[in-house]
Amino acid sequence: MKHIIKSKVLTKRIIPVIMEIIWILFLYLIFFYDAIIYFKKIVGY
Amino acid sequence: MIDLIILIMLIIVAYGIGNLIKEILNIDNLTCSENTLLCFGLGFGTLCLLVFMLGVMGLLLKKIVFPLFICMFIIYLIRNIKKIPLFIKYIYNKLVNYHFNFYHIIFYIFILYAAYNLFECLTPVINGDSLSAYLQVPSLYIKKGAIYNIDWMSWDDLPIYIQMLSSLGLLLSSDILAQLITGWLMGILCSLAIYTITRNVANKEISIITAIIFYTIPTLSWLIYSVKIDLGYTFFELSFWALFIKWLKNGNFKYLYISGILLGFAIGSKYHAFFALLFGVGVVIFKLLKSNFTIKQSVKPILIFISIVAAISMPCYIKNYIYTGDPVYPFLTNPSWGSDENVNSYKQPWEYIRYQYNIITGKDFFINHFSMSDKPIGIVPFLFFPLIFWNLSKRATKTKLIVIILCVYYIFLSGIMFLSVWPYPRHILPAIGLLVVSSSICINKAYLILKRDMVITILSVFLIGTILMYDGLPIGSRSQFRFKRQLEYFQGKITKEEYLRLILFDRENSGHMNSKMMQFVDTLEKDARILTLDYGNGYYVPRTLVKIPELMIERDINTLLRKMRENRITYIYYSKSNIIKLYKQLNIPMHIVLNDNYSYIFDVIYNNNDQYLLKVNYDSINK
Repeated sequence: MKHIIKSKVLTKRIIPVIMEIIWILFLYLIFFYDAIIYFKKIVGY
Repeated sequence: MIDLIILIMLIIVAYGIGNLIKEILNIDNLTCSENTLLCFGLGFGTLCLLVFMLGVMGLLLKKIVFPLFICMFIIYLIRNIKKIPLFIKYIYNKLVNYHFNFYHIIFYIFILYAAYNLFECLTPVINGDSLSAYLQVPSLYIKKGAIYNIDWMSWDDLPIYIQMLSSLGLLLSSDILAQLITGWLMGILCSLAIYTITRNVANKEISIITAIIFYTIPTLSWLIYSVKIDLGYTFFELSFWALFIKWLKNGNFKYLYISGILLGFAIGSKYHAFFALLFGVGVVIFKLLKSNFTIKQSVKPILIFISIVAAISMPCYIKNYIYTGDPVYPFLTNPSWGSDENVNSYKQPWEYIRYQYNIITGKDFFINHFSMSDKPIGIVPFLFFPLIFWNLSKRATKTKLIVIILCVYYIFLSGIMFLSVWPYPRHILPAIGLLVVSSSICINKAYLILKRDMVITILSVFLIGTILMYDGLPIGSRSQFRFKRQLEYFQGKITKEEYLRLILFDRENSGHMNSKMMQFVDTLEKDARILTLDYGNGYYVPRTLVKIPELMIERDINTLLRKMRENRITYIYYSKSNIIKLYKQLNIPMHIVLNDNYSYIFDVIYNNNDQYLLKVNYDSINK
């Protein structure tokens, strides 16, 4: 653990990747919401 | 089809002019994309200036412009006749030796989308702003054969270089050509500019992907299918940034001065480019002081840079000064111009974050409805944004510096627009472009973390989704109706008049004069001037349709009549449903013209559906 903290792997690699995963999920939610509205529009509801 | 042929000829002429200027200025050491971008930037900018000069001299006539254009085309063709087979051979070799790469999928998506945009742009203009302002100003100039002060309109007192390109389109062919130049072509050239800038920080593959991401953002989609000036301004400003960044990288002052020419064209196209000048000068000072220049040594290049920018953009501002007494109309005469519309709802500084969320997603946090007279930036450029923090320190210092400058410029320009009266994404399009360029380094990092094919797949899914959902492809009953009419128009089954009648004039809630009203208006005397009380779109109306915002809200009958007489208005037009909606929106009582007490002054001479045409009976007041 000490080694990980010392080598800055946590701050420079792991945290950005976790942030990226949360971020993509967040954007997917918005995108998915629009896709549902869009699909409803096409179907005509 | 003739519009497309003239467009190709125009592209060749613009490139030829740009190439000639480039040779005269002796600019070398350019990459292929920089060379192409510079030639188009200089070429189209010079064409704007040329048409402007013809307009000032009163020579904005088809019989002068058309032969001049044909002569230029023939001269260029004779000069470069030997290069044509070489070019064809180059394209042939590229096609024969083609190898499929997975990222080409994104390129094919782009080709299909650009082809669809081209198809749309080959149909007549139906965009409201274009019809009421950006196309009407050039058409009024052309009617008179000169640039003059249109007394009842304020749109002609803004920077008009891009409207000169629209004038050229109208003179050479029609409004469709104007749309092809200022919409479709400028969209393609903007993505070329993004590619060129991105090449400074990323490889060829990522640069192409970045340029395509920019081309597909929803904000661009409706600007491409219009004659609005935003794309032209964006193209000139992005070309400026391409050369400016080249100077930042290699320090040769020649590139800084050439970038000044392009910035001059951008400032002559839209006031917003002033902020690029302000920011650019700041960066020049920073860079020179960092490179151990003394303040005295720094003054000379900065002064030359500013002088070049001023010299190129000056004609437009001198014209404004002569006509209005205000070179930057309306900011000196009426600094609060546009604020009465109350569009900007952001009151506190911390709402800047909300503003960013609004313009990127087009929603209020999280998925609440948000209304904006523009389309959002979209989420595709921000897909890999958190990765910007991933091992940033390991990147080359110059790349890091460029990315920081581009991001700061986005924060700077969007911050200014946040405080402005119309905080729409289209006004910060160059800054958005630069932000997309910065996002290219995130794509690069995503390549390192994830598998390359996976990144391409994620991007392709989002790109297709964006194009389908936000970019107005013909899905849904109304768009399908339009698409079918466009196809019929394209096949020659219906005429332009019939197409416009179906799509625009007689469509419910279109806000345009209907076809029967237009037929009646066509029977009026030639010098008739019609005041519109709502958002009437003037370009297709056969008589001068005057829109004066202050007369739309005037409450005193004597002042109204005096001002109408001053503007030589003889008729008034309004659509009842639109006017009710408009006055409700503005939260003011109904216009006094509709007051029964004044019916003896305003005679209804024609009405159709809910549209009315009144004749102003000035004699009845004198009696």
